Amino acid sequence: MLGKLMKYDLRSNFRTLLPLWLTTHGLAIVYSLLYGSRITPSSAVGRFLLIVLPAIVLVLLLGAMFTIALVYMVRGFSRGLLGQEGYLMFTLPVTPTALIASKALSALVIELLTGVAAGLCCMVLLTCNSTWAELLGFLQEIWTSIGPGIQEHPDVLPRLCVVFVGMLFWLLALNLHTYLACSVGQLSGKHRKALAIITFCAITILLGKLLPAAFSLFDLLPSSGGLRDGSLWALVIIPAVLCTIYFFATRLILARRLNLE
Amino acid sequence: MEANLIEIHGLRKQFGSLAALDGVDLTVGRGKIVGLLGPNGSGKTTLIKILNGLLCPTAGSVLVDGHAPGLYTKAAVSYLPDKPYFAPWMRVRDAIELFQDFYKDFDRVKADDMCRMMELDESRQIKTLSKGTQEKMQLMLVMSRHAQLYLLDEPIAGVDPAARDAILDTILTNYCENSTVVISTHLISDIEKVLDEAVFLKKGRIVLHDSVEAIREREGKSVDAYFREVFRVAPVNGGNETCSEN
Amino acid sequence: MDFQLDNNLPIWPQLLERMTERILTRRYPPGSKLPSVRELALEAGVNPNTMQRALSQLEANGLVVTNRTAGRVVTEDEAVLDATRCRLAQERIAQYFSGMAKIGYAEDDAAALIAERKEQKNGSESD
Repeated sequence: MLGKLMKYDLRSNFRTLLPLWLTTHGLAIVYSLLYGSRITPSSAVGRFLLIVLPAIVLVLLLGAMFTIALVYMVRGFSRGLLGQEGYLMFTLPVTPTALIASKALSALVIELLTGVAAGLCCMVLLTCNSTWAELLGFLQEIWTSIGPGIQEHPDVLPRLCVVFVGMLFWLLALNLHTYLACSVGQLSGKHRKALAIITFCAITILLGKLLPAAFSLFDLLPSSGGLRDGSLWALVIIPAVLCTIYFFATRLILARRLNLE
Repeated sequence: MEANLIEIHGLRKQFGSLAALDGVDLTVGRGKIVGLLGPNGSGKTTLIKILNGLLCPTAGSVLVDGHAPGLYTKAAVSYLPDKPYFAPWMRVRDAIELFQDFYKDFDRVKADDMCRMMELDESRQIKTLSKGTQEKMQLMLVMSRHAQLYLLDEPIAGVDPAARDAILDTILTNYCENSTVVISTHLISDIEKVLDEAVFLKKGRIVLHDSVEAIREREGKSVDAYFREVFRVAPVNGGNETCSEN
Repeated sequence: MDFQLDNNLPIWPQLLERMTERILTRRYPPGSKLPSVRELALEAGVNPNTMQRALSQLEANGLVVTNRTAGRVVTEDEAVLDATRCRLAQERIAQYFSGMAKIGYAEDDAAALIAERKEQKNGSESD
């Protein structure tokens, strides 16, 4: 059931996101070709049009990609579950748990892919000055130095993994934090958006007070390097706990106090 | 399989200080087409939403085929809302496949047949269809399931008379002895020939639940006429002033 | 022949009458199989249970028999058909006279009008 739900959630997102990503990449490639061809426009207008303007457009596009990923995350829930489509979603033979999980995970996938897409764009831009040979050589260098690098510093890779997993949980926590705020918002009849925003801010403020205390708790744990580092695990455990709390609260509200428009 | 498809006892639904449903007792058997009749605000939509699991009761018990609203009932109930509920990007084919994906009792062959009869192109986007065609499409999806309970919320409102006939024909064609259809509407004269039983809902309470033929025999009038009698509202009266002669 | 049903009266007796008419006018010939309840209900635009009740009464009146293999079949008993036709004819004659009484015609006068009408028709035919 979860898989089926995610299939539909991702499909609805990809329809608009894929063209956006492709356009951004296209522009990045065009720009890097332009820049790499070392055309040096003589006039100021020429310089502006060929160098400055595309750069501005690209930066804006990259910013737009992230903004849109977040907008889709919010809308996916507020419209997809709590709007008209909610009449379909909540009468399907699936649990509220599956519905919430599907939205949270699809949004996470979109956020990650947006990051990857943005990263690729940046790489294209950064390497616009190099030739293909230079590029390949650079990649080979990285590849050959990974092996010995890992052997020399054996903790780096596992630590990076933990950080990566932690980042995933933080993203998931962001999604679920938003969903909880939307769920509280829908409890009201007339002031859904206002209540949602207030709840979001309230939770954020609460986090601001509690998180430093939570982190310092982990610092108290004895650490002896490598993976035995309390503050490292804080990066994973704290968001995981937040996710759990947000999830159960959201599920409770939607299972008992659903109030579709 | 329980003998009674719907069993409701002492159902109450409170929205703040407003009691949308105020002590409802209702038993409905199988193989019936039941009309849920009442003016706007009488609690029809609330009752339907509780039956399909979109709302939780404040008090009382609700059983569909012996189960409280939940996963089992959602698979046994086929619900037609009064508004479109598909994502804007979906085409007719996507909606059919979604139903096929999630509902084990969905009959794909039947759905395709009905599309063909309606001359509906499955590759069309749902939001580009006319209102009447959208209603027919949603009804087609709902009726292509072999459900135990069909809940139709205002299936013929806002639709031209020819389309209304087509919709009523669809409901009759899909009639099955083990299933029950509950139609909530205020357009009574159009559908009363199709009904077995009528339930009159007034301000959150059931004031009548009887067979339609019994009503006609006892009252000597159509259900529509009797409804107007029961729910008569005093006209707005501005006083005894006569119009001035200017 | 449409069903033409009046919502202000119980439907099943009206269905019974229409089906009887159809049988008497041989729209469903003696010995032929009746369409299914569902088909008839769809044609009339009524609830299948209501149509079922009318058909049960049709069977009770002897106009239709349930054959184990073929289902509901129109009776081939001409006596029953004749008797039904006569009974309905008498009912409709009574309706005619009561209708005429409502506009002030006594039975004799009303009967005289029928004779007049018949003569006029014969007269125009022989022209």
